[in-house]
Amino acid sequence: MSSKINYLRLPPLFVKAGIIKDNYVRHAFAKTEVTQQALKHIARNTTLPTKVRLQAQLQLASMPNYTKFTQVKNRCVESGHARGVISKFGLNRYVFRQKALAGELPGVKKGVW
Amino acid sequence: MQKFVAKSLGNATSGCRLLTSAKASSKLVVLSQRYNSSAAQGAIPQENQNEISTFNTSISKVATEPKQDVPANVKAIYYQPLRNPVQYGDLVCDLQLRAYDNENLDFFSDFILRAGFYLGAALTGPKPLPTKRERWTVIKAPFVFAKTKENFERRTHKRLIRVWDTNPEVVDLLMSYITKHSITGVGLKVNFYQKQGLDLNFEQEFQKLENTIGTEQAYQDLDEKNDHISKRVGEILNDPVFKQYMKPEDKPSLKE
Repeated sequence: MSSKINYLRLPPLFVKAGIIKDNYVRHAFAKTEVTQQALKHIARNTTLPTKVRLQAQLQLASMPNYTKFTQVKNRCVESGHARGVISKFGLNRYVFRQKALAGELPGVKKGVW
Repeated sequence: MQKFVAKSLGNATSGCRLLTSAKASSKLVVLSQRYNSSAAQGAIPQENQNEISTFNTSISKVATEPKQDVPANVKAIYYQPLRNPVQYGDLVCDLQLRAYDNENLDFFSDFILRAGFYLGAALTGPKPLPTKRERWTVIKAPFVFAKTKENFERRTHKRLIRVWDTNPEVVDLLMSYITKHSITGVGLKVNFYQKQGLDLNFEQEFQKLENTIGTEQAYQDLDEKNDHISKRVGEILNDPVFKQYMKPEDKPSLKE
């Protein structure tokens, strides 16, 4: 379950420490996702014996934090910034503004209403 | 659905040009009768001119008058697209077009209607669907000064074209023709509708489910190719750590 992750390909983004850390978490989650979902299914399935469900819950809790999806943070693709990210474009608010004004985002115009 | 389109593309493209030309030529005869084209004859007789003028006022809008000596198929572009009537009201597929700009969108939907007419498909539309407006308000400055903001907006225009009473082959042909001549900035979403009988023995399936519920066998018969999680659940339940607790007497009864 907590097997060592040997090779981590970095995403084609602006690379800084936060991006590398986030990348590691994403890889770790991708490796254990099926197991996590299966354990959750067992733990919440009321037709299974209580001890089995308890065992599944214990195994889930014993997994390290960096394998959990709650640790994943969306970051700006261009600047690597972790705050003010507009999820539709994957861009930080300031990068979004610059790109929108330059006409690089299809259909996005200055809003007048 | 996308796969379906791609597959049909592969099959239909070879026969596409042949069939369209054959169909189009037969339609053109009809067209030339309707518009009373004078391409071959030269000047238009007086009686036929009256027919054209009635056609103009009653059915279609004309921005600029077409020249008198152009062929019928060119002349048709000056008028609203012709339509084949809907006979049975059997919805075969619907096309949703989307774009951030209404000009390309209207042009392309017009193109689809014309292509559909010459293929013999009954099309209705383009029905304008509600425009989606997405708005973002962002802080202008990269750091602090959060009082100064800027607004951005994106409008997604949509049109709906529906195809009625048409053979699947013709619909495929239409799709391949549209995708071949698609224009920039216009997205296309297609839903195909097919009718099918229902052959499923519910009682038998239910009995099968009831027998295996709460056991490892419940996770055996599932489609393993697609359902990774069910497969993994089966593996975990067969693990000795879990196996020791999987006793029939521990299984809670469902009736409580």
